[in-house]
Amino acid sequence: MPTAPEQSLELLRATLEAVEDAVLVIRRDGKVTGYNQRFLDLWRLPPGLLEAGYEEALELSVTQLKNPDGCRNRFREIMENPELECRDVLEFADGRVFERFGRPQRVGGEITGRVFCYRDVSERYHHEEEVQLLACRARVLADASRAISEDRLDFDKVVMSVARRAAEFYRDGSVVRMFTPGGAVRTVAFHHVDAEALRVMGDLLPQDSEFIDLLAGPELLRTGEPVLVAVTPAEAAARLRPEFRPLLERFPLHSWVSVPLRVAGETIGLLTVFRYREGPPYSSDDQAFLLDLAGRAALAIDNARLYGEAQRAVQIREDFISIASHELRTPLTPLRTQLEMLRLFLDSGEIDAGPFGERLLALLADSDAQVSRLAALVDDMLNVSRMRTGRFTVKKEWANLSELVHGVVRRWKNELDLAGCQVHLAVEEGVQVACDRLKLEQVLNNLISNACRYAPGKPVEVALFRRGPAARIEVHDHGPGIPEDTQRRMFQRFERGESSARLGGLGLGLYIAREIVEAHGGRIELRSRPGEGAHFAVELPLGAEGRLPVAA
Amino acid sequence: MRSVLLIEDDESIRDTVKLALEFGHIPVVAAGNGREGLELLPRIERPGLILLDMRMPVLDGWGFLEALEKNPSLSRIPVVAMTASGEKVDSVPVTEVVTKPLDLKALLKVANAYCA
Repeated sequence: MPTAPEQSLELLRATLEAVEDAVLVIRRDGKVTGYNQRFLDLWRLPPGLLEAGYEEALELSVTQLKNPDGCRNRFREIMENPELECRDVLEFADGRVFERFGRPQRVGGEITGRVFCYRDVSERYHHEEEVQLLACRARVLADASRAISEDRLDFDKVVMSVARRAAEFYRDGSVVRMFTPGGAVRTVAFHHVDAEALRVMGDLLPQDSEFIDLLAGPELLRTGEPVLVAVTPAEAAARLRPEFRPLLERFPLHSWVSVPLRVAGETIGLLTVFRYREGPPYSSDDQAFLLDLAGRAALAIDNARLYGEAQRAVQIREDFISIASHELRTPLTPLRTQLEMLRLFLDSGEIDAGPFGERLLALLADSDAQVSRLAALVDDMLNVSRMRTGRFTVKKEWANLSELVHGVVRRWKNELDLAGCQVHLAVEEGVQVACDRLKLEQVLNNLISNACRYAPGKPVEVALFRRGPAARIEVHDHGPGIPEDTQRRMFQRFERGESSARLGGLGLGLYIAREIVEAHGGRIELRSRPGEGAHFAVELPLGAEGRLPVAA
Repeated sequence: MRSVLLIEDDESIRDTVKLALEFGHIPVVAAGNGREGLELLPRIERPGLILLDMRMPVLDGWGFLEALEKNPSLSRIPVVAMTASGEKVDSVPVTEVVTKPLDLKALLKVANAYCA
């Protein structure tokens, strides 16, 4: 029959072996008074070692941890403070993670030693780490999406943002490469968190694509599939040309991932992240993350690229219009002078053209009208070009608007007669405004010319009067009118009434008119209903006499 | 009848204006830019009028006028500037300004007034 103490001891042993934790009990003098098999298994200690004390076991144990010195010191600290209740996390080099609880062992209120429990928390710990990493990735992705979309129309900024975010997430280097229409690959952005590495990359990358093509791997270029590579620095060096050796010596290359930038199934470029420093190689998780990032980036990059191309196309068009209108205008002045010379000659009667004299003069007058029309079209183009490039200015002087309206209508008399348009004038006399005479005449020219073209055979009403703080010029025709949905577009460039394709013209007149009127601080409006003609109105600020009004 | 010194870089315009003036029985000496005009002036009979284009290569109208002003004997020759419409010519020290495209009949009248 075992004694009571013997029974207690057996119960203790059985309990020790039954619990899931590894247990170690050390007396104050350093003698190990208890442990279980799990403890020996945990630290891979031979049986019997602990009977001699814990020092040797401690040395064997800490070498298995990621931070041996720190853990040894912590253990001694705990042992020197008998009252300490502690909880520590022990990270093993092999990836296991244990929590260690320590508390004093008391007998009748007196501390006699210390009990340690070791609990395997590897799963929870790695799970937490993973959750943290996932959360971090989600943050980076969301952050990247936002930042990329903020810069979405600036190609350089978008690709730089992608490169920077990938590099900063991994604390490594990154490169963004784009396929050119010719099938070549061009580096468009790169980043490294290390300033020195960034400088070296800056020196090497733009000159030579081979480095990155190697990283990307011909596989990706061929198949568009992601590439994940882990190598030793020596292997990496062997794959590269000697120029890159200094870079590799300073930053030994261990691992890289390349993922395609894909839009609508087409690979437009690639994102590569590479690790120069010691550390675990990139994993398939990293590849998945980068694919996600690349997916978000690709659309933004493509949008920015297309936007840039559209901008360039627009610029090329503006340049072309500017050059074309200048070139087209140049021969017109001598041509008009030459026609004028012929007219002078025929008019003088020095040469008797007989019965053809009158007809020749009429022909010359028509030539002159045609050339004038051409000149007006070219001037429209030139003006639009100036408006678009900000070289368009109005020079205001006080002018009698009433006289200006009379003058323009007088000059249009022939054309209006030819078009069968009878003009009804209602002009308030003595209306003064500060304006650029020539440009305002052009506005009126455009409005009257429209009436001639769109409403032939119908009367045209031209009116000028003061209304409130403004001078108002109205031109009403009785043509087919303009549908409401077309009206909104009428003052834009290259727009014309829908039925007007056969009537010619560049569709610039009303755009120019609006620009000129608005440059005067005024406004132009159009009211029309199909079948009821078009009513154009121009309002110009009257301003205080003697003081030039400021343009809006 | 005194002559007109015509300074104009555009050959077509130069020939046409020359033709128009000669048609009006006014002798013409023509130059292709301001510098040519300045070089011609001492070698020809003092013209009754200088017909001056403003925008020209080598030496433009403004440069020509500046050089002319430094020579007191020449600076009193009347000058008619020919400008493109809309060109700012307020400060040009000339006798008259005509705008292109030129009204040749009016130009003849002006030339007659100075050269007859």
